[in-house]
Amino acid sequence: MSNEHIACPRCDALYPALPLKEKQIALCSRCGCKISEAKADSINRTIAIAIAGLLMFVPGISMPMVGATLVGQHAEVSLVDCLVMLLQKDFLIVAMGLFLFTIAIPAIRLVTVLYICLAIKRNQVNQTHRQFFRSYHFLDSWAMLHVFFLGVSVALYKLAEYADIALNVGLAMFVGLLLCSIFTHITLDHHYVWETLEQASDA
Amino acid sequence: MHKTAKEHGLARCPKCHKLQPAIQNYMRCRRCHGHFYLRHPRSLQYTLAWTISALIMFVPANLFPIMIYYELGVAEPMTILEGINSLIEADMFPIAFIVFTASFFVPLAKLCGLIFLVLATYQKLTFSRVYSGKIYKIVEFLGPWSMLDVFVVALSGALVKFGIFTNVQPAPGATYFTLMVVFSMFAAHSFDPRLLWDKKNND
Repeated sequence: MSNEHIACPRCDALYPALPLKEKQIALCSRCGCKISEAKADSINRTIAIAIAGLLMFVPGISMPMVGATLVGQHAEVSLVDCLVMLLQKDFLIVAMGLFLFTIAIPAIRLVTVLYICLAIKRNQVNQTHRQFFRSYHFLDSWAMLHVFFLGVSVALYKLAEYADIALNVGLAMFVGLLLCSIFTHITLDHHYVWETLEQASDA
Repeated sequence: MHKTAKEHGLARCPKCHKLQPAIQNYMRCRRCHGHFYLRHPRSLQYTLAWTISALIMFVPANLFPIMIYYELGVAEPMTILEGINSLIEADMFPIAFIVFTASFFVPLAKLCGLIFLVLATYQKLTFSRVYSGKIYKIVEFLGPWSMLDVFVVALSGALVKFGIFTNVQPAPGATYFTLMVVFSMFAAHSFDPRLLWDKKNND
């Protein structure tokens, strides 16, 4: 019974589960919410993007993103520097928010997708992968790399008025990381992963 | 015309989307082994409680300065609205608009939207459910964007350290603002949009 039907995540309307062809999307006819989507070459693409993202992760957060020069003094700052500054000034809650939303959660999500997709690709799926993938869903809306990037842009725009601004390699790395984080979300076919995880451990 | 999964005795796991027989209201998913509710029994109470907490945090977040700007040793504390005002005075309208939207308009609109959704569900308003569902989607999407100002403060604080000339330091408002954003995200996650549709069938 339960594999023959799908339900809308937003309004709980029940539909018969029709097999989707590649790139087809199932929409709810009552509330318009997307129910599921069959994505092309999901596992391979996701692995590639997750590896790219992880490569850019360390330079993205630790290399200087932007620099400013004022009255002959030059300062450069990376994401980690922001965190250290907040900790030194005892803004513990803000520091924790910054650490979780821009460092810890994006890292966990990239590692999780890579781990799951590699396991599926090599047909070595077991029970623990379910726990892992569940955590991925739990952290879905808490990654805020995109917001931090907008924050960098706004801060630069403000500073450009009275200081000389320089963009550094760290910023390019960070943007790459941000794009990879978004693209894994786009390429990963949740429905397919769950079906595979289920079949593998039932067999 | 549309039957919900609940009416068929089926429950959908919120994490892995697996449909399964609803044995009781609180159950363990057969596929991902996570615990979930068919419908959270106190979804509205939780949503309202987090929303009120966020509203309370909104007051100090706007009354306290979010950062302190030192120029030649003179401290100039800035609240969010004062910061926006200084951007307008400096003729930076686009950036003033972004900051105003992300850090003042969006949090308020989000909290109003949540209160509206709770009332619409509780009072069984004969308001279009499709429209309410869209409001929920927007509220959920807007969640992280309010962190913008906090990130701007973190970055400016770490970058602008030019000794006596110019210095930026974070101020207590940033902590309250972070808490406000986190609380309102918890509120959005506590709300179960399927409750909007359940009521209709009971009318």
